[in-house]
Amino acid sequence: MKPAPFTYHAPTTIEQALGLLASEPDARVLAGGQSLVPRMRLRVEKPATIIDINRVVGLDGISVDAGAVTVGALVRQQTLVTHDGVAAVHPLLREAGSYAGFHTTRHRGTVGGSIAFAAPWAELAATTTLLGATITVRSTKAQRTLAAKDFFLGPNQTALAADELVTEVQFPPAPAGTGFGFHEASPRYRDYATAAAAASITIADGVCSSAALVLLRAAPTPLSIDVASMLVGRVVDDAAIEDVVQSLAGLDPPTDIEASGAHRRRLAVTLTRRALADAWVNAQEAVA
Amino acid sequence: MSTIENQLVTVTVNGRTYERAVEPRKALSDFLREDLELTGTHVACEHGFCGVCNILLDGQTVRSCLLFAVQVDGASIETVESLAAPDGTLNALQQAFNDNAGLQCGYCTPGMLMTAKEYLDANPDGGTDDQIREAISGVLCRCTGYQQIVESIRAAASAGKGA
Amino acid sequence: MEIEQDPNASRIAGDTAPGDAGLRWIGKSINRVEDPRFLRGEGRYIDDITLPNMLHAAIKRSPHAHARIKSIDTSKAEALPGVVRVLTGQDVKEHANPLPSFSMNPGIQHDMIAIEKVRHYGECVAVVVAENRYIAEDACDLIEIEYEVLPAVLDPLKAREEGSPLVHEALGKNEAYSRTFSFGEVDKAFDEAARSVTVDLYWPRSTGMPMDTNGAIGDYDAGTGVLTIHANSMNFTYFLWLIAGTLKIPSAKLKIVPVVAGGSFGSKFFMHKVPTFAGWLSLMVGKPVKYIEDRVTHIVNNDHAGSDRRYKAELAFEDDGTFQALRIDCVDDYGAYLQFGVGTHGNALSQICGPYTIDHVEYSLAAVLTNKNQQGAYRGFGAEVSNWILERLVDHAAHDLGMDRVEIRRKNLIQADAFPYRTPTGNIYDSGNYPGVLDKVLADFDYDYWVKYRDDARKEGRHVGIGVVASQERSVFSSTEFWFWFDEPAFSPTSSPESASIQIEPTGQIVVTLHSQAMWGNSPETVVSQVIAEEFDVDPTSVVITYADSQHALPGTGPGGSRYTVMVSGAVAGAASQMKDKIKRIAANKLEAAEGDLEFRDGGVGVKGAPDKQLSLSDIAMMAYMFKLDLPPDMESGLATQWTYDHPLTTLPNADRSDLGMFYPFVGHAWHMAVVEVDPGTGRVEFLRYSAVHDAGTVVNPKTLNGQIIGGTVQGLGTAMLEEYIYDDQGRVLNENFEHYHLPSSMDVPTMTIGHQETPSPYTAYGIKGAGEGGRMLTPAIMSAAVEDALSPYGVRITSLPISAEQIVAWAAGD
Repeated sequence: MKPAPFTYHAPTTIEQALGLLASEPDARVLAGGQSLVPRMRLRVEKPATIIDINRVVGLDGISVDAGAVTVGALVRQQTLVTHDGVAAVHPLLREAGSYAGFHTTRHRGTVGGSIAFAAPWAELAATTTLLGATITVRSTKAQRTLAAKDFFLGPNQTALAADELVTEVQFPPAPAGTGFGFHEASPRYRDYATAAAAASITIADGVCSSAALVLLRAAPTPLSIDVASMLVGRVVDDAAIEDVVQSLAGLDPPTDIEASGAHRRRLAVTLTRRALADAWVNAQEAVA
Repeated sequence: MSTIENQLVTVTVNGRTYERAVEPRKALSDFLREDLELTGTHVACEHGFCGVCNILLDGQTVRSCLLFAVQVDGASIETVESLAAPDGTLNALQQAFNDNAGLQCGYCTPGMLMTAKEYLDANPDGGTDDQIREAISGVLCRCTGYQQIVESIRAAASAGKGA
Repeated sequence: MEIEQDPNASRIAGDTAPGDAGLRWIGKSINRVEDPRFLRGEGRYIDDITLPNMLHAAIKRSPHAHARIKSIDTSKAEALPGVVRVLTGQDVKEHANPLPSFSMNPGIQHDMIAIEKVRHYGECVAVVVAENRYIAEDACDLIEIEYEVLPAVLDPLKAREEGSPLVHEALGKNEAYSRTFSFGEVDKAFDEAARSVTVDLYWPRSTGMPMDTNGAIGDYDAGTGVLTIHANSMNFTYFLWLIAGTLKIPSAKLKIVPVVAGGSFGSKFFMHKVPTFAGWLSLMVGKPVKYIEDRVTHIVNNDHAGSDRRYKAELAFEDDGTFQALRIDCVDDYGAYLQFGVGTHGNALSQICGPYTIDHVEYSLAAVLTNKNQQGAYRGFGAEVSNWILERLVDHAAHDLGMDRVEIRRKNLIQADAFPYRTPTGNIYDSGNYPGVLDKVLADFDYDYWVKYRDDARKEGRHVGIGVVASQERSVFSSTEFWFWFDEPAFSPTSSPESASIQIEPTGQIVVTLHSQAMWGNSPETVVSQVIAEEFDVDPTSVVITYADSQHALPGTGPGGSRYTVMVSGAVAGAASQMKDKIKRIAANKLEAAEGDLEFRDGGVGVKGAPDKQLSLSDIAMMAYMFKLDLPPDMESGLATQWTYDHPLTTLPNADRSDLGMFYPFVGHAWHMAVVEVDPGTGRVEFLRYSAVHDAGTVVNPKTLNGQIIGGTVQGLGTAMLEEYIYDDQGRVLNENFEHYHLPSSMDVPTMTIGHQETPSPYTAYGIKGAGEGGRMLTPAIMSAAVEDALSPYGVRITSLPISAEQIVAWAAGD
């Protein structure tokens, strides 16, 4: 299980990295390597060129400013999960992020890598979508910023062009009185998610003023459910949650070796109930 | 297939600095085992799912099978060979594994020890059994069923407190 | 019943009576003497060994389960710089014999490399020998093979039907073996019993999955003609001659050097493919060649996958719960080859009625070949499956009667005054006190508390369930289990011996040489050190242990079937007994004392009651090596003894196989009780309590025994909840790596309490019984029982494994 040979580049500036990305036809960007290298080990992927961006300067910053969080692409997932400033404004990033593998893999795994790799189980795909994050990508030609909801196109498929690199992710501030919930199911502790649900609810004047729900593995991409139309103006009690659950009846999740679509549909229901209930409780705490 | 040139890597392992030319695709685990002859680090799945090859890279555990040796140029690495005294005397963590039957076949043990070392460095009081279990959950052991490993790590923490 | 034992065996057990409270070292939780080198990372596993000029091999695996090989083009692979040789089935055909097999069926031929067709996904179709493993794998990618894909035989039931495609054309059918054994009056007992339950059960294929895969290094010396193979195989002396046969070399020119194994669990029990392969490659290229299975190869092409069985099982019983008769019909999917014959069912027959008095048993077996990797050994060797079957039947009977699951078991337990107990198949249980173990586990577990807890929790809508199961743990096989299936044994009965040599060097240093594989996670060196300490009153950590290679080894069988601790203790005790005789004669002569007045104390020998009249082992050994004139006149120099310990209690089967004889007679006993809470929304199962009590006879080392019990339990938990080979409809293995083949992690398993009862065996040295497999005998049954109990509001009956999260969620959803 040895990888096929490749030419190795370790640029130190983003311009060098982008230049290589533009000029090398069969290149893969190596960030944390926790998803790419296993595939190279199994020779599912045999890139001719590896562009190792770990030495690129300026991609590993985290800033928290008035509730907004900006995360450089090279920030290690464990750094994000353990960052108290981030957790204070976006507790979901810690909660959901801690489901991503083990602390040992999170020591290497990067935020940008997870997003660019777009594994269907990636918690960051769910949290960026739920929190309305934007993703900044660059090529030698241009820089653009995409909404997370427009970024993920399918399993391991994104809006990223072949010459583009993810450089940064921006999470906007959460409104006051917002609570989050995250639940995930997997065969073993911290396996890749069979299914997951991320929810947020904001309370104003004792009722839900905004809400969001994103399901992982209920569809080929992180699936946003329009829960606001069902929950805004209501107390999110069991009846309200069951209205959301009713709306999930038409889900057609994918079947693979780990689970059937039918199982994933059931999990989506269970995890939705739990994530919304938690989000409501946490929102109540946030307004208290 | 085009010829790919070896690259020079300078790395400090267990306090000693090595300089070696390696093929870029060479895994760090293979580099440690073959080029540096440090065979204490074992591989069991070679694609990042078992944790047996865990080592400390600049103080943090990483899967050495998922890194290429060329990536650790300039870094500092600790492997299982760093734990015992030069005369072979076991350190407190190793001794706790011996005292509490924390190993059977010994194959996952280097990865388990380095992961436990990282945990105990951050949690010198040992924490709870659940925390210990969570800390080692990324390292698979097929022999022990983990219970005596948990007991070993807890005992090592107690020994540290007494010292 | 009366049992006559081999007089040599009773002599071994003689010096220290079983269960003797006076044991000094046996029974102590000393630290394992093996540990320090492994803790320092100095284990020297097979892949840690490098020989000068060593080359590396990688195999090209078949992407098809069943296909004819039309052509192989190796030219591009051979042209790759660094490639030394590419070999295919044609080379095997010309230069080697088929791999050894115990199937006794010449129609089933197994070759190192597939010759004309491939019979399972992952089978080796070519091999590359290269300067390093990376290049060898590159070259595998360049081998071009044209296949004619054949319909894959995957369902063992369809495979038995007329017209099914054939795995082995030469066999003419896919059913390699079928026979019904009957013990007692089964039909009559079923007719007369008030009730019966019938259950269809399925046990899926999984595998031992050690962290260290199978590996070997072949090293051919053209000058001497000796081929040395370093291998992490268990049974290197036992089967040496068979490997030599495959390699077409005289067994005297084959030397196998045992190498520590990072786990086996059956996977390296008579590991035939890998060492044979490495040896052959070295013969072919004339240099040392290392061949290590990578993880994918180990999963799809290892020597031993576990059982894969479909059962119809029936239990007859009375209204009061008294068991009467058992009828078992099994179709076992052996995969493409029949390496071990049907020995895994012989194993099941050693304890088919468990700890219960059941006098009438019928056992039907059909061994079917399919296009899957071959079955072989996995911790329990088939008896873990039959225990699951039996305990499932008992739970079904309890349910049928509305009877408590503990009480129905207690009612049928063999009583403590019934030993030695002859089971219906002819095997005996040597000793036991089963109600004693039950009482102990009930007290430790607090059964009544948990019953109330479960019932209260259920009222709150929680899904809490209790499992209670018992098991036998047969230990120390006799090889009759491999051939009593056939009317004529194809080879002579062997007793599966084990040997030990003791040498005391002139310095007084005790050195013990073992003659089986080094170590695979068991504690051979610790056991031997404790026995030596017991016999000579020396510090166990002072004993030096070495391992003979096959050219110097005495008869040995190696670990397997929970035999090693019993057998090596017997061998060491035998060699120690001889050694002590000689030492006493030397000491008596020197000290002018009677031999009967001497005792071993403080690392030497002295006159009882006379502390100053003592000689150290060094004093004795110095005389023995250097000062012949100090020895008794008729004694020759030197201080070394050896002992080959035959199976101490085995008999032959009778002609019509209505009595299989004693073949697995040292039988431990265990109870596990567990409480789980099931999350019906996700299928996650959490443990609230797990209690185990085992009786493995005299305990040598409680700490290491506990390790075996916990490890076996967790491995069984994997079988119960997570592990199975998943095939697609073409017979390809879908979970061929650790991403998808799930082993339990530290967060998926219980923390257990463990108790021991010690009922010594009357027939073994010190009364020890084997205990390496017990844990795995119980977990599949206890998880089935506990999850079933937790899901009782849904009326669930668990009849197949693994109990997946998906299945649990579906049950709770009413599917």
